[in-house]
Amino acid sequence: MMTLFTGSEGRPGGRGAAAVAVLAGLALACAVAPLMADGAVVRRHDADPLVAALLDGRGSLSFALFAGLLGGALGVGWGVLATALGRRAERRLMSTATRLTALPLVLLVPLAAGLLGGGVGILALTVALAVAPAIAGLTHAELNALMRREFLTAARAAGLSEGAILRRHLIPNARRPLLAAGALALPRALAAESFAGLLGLGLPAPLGSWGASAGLAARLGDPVALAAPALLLAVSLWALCAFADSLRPGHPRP
Amino acid sequence: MPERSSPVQFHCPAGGGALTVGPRAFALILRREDHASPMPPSAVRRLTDALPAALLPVIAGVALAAALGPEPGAATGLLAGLAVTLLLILPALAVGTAVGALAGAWAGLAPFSAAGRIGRLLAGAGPLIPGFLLAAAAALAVRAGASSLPLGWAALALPAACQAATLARPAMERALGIGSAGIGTSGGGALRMAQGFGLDDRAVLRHHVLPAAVAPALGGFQNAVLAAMVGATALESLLGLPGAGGLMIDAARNGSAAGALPPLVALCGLTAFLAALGHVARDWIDRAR
Repeated sequence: MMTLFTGSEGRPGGRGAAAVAVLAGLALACAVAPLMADGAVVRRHDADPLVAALLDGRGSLSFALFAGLLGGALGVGWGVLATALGRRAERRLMSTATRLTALPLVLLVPLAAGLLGGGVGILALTVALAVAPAIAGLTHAELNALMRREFLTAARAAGLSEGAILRRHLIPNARRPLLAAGALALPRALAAESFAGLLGLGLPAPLGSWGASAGLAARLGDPVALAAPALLLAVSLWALCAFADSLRPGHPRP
Repeated sequence: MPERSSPVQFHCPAGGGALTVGPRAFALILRREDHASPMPPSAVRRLTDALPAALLPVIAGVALAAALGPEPGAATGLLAGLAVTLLLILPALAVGTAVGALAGAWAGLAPFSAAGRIGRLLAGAGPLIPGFLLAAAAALAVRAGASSLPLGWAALALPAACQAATLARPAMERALGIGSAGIGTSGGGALRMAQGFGLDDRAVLRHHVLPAAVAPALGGFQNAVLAAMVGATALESLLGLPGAGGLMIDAARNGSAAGALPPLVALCGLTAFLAALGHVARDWIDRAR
């Protein structure tokens, strides 16, 4: 049976399971936070710092999921296209991705929010575009490593058709590396939005976010108000990174 | 390369006997060897190769600021801002990467020593402490009366140290050949070489094993530069420092594209310059090794 989470050497990973437990706990706590804020009425400024941070978590986590999935899909699509379209297109697409990865694209997020109005859609699109080149690079590297595996050479030597190789070997083995590469978009999206929010150029006003709360607390000089969103953001980033890491395949299925 | 006319013998290290090849085949082997391991460019050459890609965006940014800037002294202000950003980032990156790489290497060598524990802590804490969050904490401390420059440097150095420690620790373990049964049980070319030549352990550690651990840490320098750039922008904006990142965010808040784009372009150039410095340092360590 294939285990869902693996360690770096293919062992079942406790770190991945711990990350999922932390993320599930955080999501649940953020979902029930309105009930903790003095009954059913949500008054964020009246709530205690932890409850306020949990309320902000709803905005941060749901945005990270939305923008991360968008960025992950863009990046994975980019990497798959580069691998599938032949050498020339591969070289062009991947050299573009490499050059973009070397630039501080995250700076585009607050810039776009400030210059283009800062709607959720624009913010999500900017975050996805900022995240996609790195995911494309990872996807391409994973697919290249997979294409060099001996079992594919053996399958070709055994006379299997390209369609059969694709169906029986390539797609089942590529699923997990692609999922792992795409999952790395989630912590990157969360970090990008939090950075923009910290500068006051993140999610628009009715939606709270950990970055915006941390930035406000830093400007007001309130350490108690800073501690809860900063801690929850740090834990979420760790859990999302550990989750993405645990999805990386140990040994492909031949 | 001298021409050979007599056959050449190769000996199989695994005891497979001698293999005799003619002069033409030998020339082919030599050419292949040359092709397989080209001489790496010198550090100065590498830096001069990377300079145009780094300086052109800076020049373009300053020119854009002069042409489009909302104020007459925008270009001068951007140059001063770039200097402030460089002053914030460069010492923090240098110290953070050096400390992180050494601590990470020590974590691979002696994981339960004090330095090893620090290295393990830094390597484990990587994703937990993004630079912009540390910048918020630093801004809070500055508002409470602390000095801004040392705190800013510390906030930017810590993520770089974590990144370097994360990469240096496994590299040290590979260099030492640490397997499940202890040191030297899984590869460990440097250690075996030391045993073979009868060299002093300390000398081998300093000249072979440590560079082998530190060089990969510098391979991740580009990511550290990107994280430091984001952290510096947050720090400048929160503390009101006149850096290029702060200028860009102020202009974005005011909705001024003419004020925000030149600093962005110039910061891309600064990023490329700092990443090139990291590549040069890695090449220098590789050559020394």
